[in-house]
Amino acid sequence: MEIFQIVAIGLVAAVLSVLIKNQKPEIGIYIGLVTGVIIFIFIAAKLQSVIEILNQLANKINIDDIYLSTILKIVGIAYVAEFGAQVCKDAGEGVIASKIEFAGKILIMVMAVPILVSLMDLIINIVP
Amino acid sequence: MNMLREWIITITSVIIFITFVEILVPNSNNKRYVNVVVGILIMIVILNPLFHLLRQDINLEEGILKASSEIEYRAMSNRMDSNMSVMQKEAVIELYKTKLIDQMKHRLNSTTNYIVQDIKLEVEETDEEKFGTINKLDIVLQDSKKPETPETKHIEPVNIQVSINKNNNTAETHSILLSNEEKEIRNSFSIYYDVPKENINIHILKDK
Repeated sequence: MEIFQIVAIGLVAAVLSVLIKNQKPEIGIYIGLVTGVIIFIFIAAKLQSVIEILNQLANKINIDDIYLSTILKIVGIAYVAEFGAQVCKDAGEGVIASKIEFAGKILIMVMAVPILVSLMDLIINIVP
Repeated sequence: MNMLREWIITITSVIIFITFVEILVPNSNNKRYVNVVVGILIMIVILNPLFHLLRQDINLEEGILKASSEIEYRAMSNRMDSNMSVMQKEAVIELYKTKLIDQMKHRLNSTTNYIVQDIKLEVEETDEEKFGTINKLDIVLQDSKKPETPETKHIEPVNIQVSINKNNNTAETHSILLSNEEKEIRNSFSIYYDVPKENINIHILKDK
């Protein structure tokens, strides 16, 4: 069970971080960062397989590929932005974290706008 | 009736798909934005048959592609407005080429049975008026999408009869078929991308 490994890594890192924080707070930040990356890498393979299966499911559906791939891309952007923002927040840089979130929002919007525009176009065309 | 069946299946599977996606999305502000896009997708899925009933010649995908390339083009030109240099121009051309190649690959994959191996483009870069028009197009395709050749295939002995009058008919028909499809691809590409037919080269690699 991978969850035990991940929880173990998390607990060890948390204890280390708490122990070290009194002497050197900046090392606590590094520990948090590295732990986050390690857990992310652990999960990345599983996430990849889930996304592959979702892709297979999407291929079976009789609908244009572009919509589902756009949604998956948006989920990916949301994930990565969230990860970066959390790391920054943990390091105490709330400003940078909010900028990362902002960038994520804009990029999601860029992905979503074409779908929205073409839907609007279509509806305008159809309504007599 | 068949259409209704397909419609219901599509809606159900899209909803299942979306439920999974919702699980994947992290618990943050971003979730709202994902929900917006998902809502639009469900709207499209539900309305799609209606669109096709009302108007036959609808291609949503093309519209999306157009809108997304327009956004990218605008972003690029906004970035370039401040200082235009050769490097940036090259970057734009490169981006344009990759976009075009992606679109072509998608087009070929969805309309034909070939696997796209490689596409080479030459676009007009010096002439300001014709900037961006495709000058030359090289497409390398691979025969048959699914190479259904099991590893342990029993190979029967082949008797070759060497006589002058016996033509190999099957080979001929195959090549006619290929050239027909090649012609079709060439026609559709020359109309769609406005390239002279003689400037489109299509190579088809056959599976051995």
